Order: sequence, then C-alpha cells, then structure tokens
Amino acid sequence: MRATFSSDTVSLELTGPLQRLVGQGEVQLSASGGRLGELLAALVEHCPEAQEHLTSAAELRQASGPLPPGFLVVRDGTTVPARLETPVHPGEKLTLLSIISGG
Amino acid sequence: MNQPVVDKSLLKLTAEDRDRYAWQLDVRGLGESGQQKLKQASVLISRVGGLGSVVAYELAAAGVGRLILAHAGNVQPADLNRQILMTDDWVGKPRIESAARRLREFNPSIEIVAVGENLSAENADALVAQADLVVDAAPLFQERLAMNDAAERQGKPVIEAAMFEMEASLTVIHPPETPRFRELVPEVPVGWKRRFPVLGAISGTVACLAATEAIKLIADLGDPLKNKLLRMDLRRMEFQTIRLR
Repeated sequence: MRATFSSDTVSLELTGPLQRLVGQGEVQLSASGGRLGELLAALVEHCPEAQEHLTSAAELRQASGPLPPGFLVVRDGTTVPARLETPVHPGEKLTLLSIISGG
Repeated sequence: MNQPVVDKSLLKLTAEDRDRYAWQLDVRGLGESGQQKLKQASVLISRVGGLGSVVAYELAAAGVGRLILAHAGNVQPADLNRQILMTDDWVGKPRIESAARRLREFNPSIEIVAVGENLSAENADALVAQADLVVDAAPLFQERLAMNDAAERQGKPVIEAAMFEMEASLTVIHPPETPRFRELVPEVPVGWKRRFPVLGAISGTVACLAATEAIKLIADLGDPLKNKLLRMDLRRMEFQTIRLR
C-alpha cells in the first residue's frame, strides 16, 4: 500500500470496522483498473484482513454487481452507486463508508 | 402489547404543561402548537441502551406524550458505561423496568409503554403500528431491517441513529421521499460483529441529535435529515453531511 499520494492513485478513506481492521483511515491505491471493484481488490491484496468485510479480490474483480452489503461510496459529499463497475478516476478521493449499527 | 386508541384531540396542553415546558415554548417555530404536537405524539424507540436511553430521556424531557420502549434482557454490569436509564442497583433485573421507572420519575406527565422484547420480524408490525414515528437505536442489523420493513409498510418515518467506537451516523428514512433502508443496507453486512466498541458520550451525542430530529419531525420544525446522512467522526470532531442518491 503506497503511503504517499500520486496522480495515478485514488485516495480511499475507510471508516468504522473496516478502518479498524485495516489500521488506517486513508489508503492510496492504484486507479489503473478504472473501476471500484478493481480498487477494492487492490485494497484486499494489500490488506488481506479486509476480505472479512469485502470478500475476495477475485470476486471484487468481477465485471459488475453490487458491493458486499453494508457500504456507501461517497464522492465529493454525495453517494455514488456502490457497485463494482462504478468508475474511479486517478487523483480523486473516495470514501468507503461502513454502515454501522451500534447503539 | 396492543394499546387502546387514544383520542389525541383530548390531549390539550394544561397549565402544568405550560409551566413545565415554558422555556422551550419560546423556541422559534415550536410554540404552543408544536408542544401540542409533541404531547399528542407516540414514538417507538427500539432498544433503550446507550443510544436509545438518551433519546428516550430527551423526548421525555421535551414532553412527547407517549414513549413505547422495546428492550429485552436484564441489566448487566457492562451496560452501565452508557445505558443511563439503568442503575447499579438494578443489575440482574429487567432493563425495561429500570428504563420505565427512571423515565416515569423524570416526567410523570407522559405515558411510558414498556415492552420487554427486542424488535423482530414477528413483533415489528404490531409495535410500529402504535407509533407515529420510530427511532432505531438497535445494535443488531436484523432488528434494524425488521423495523424499517415494518415502518415502510406502514408509511412511518424512521430515525436511523448508530455509532461505532468514536464514529456515529444519523439519517431519516421515509420512503418514497427518501431511499429505503434496504437500499442502504440490503442485508446484514458481511463480517459484521455483534460486539462494538462504545463510549457512552459518543452514544449520547448521536442520541441527542436523533432526539432533535424526532422533535423536528413531530413538530414540523426546521429541516429534517431526509436524503442526507450526517456522519460524525468524534475522534477528530468532524461532521459531514452526505447527500444520499
């Protein structure tokens, strides 16, 4: 997982249980795949513990379909479709917001 | 569980009410008509733990006329870092009794309906039917899904409040005006665990905001969090309002 920002990466903010599992609030991931599924597969490859919430990198690289339940994807303060095929763009920042339930 | 239907037009403000709520009657947009709406309202609170207990307390303080509390089980020592309606002398006894007792002591002029069960697919419809509005403060996604399903069937708004460690979130679900809860959470998330890290101050923070949303919805006051999710990172004391699409 690259620690510094570069223009060919996406900055992915993590929250809730996934942030706790990964141990970082924000990670830089390659945007080369151009799709959210590829981005999350890269996250799982760099931090295998994330598979507990996100399933395997192979499944995340599937062509299309919803993300595993329990996440909102936020770009510029607005949710975007939480789907594997959602486009991602180099240099942007996304938030993978874990839906929480504690009371 | 089923309660007799009350003619709400009979629930007028009394002189005692005007004394008790005098300082909030001055809130712009609330006034006597808003206070009357609060008095006539029934709110279901799913669990009165760390979050729901503070919601219940604030709604009792505000004069919501009828609070329906649903919470099973007995008070445990580990409840007492956050569940402020439970007391140390009540460990081993039903939580719902402790919660109802505390609220009745605090505001004897309101009605407390104490249900010693958690929300489930079996009882959700009957419980939601008794309320004008529901506040979801349950720790289990299964309960949240069951309650939202019932509320959607009955066209009732749900205030969705939740926390995890030092994060919290809040939104109002009232389809078709807003997304359905199942559009946000179609099923129990993968890898979700029953136990969550919790500080009582975090639960209480989001609970006060949830109670504020309940009061706003009942009294038709301000702009409720519809189609928006308030995200709170209290470790960094950062708040973000996310537009839901």
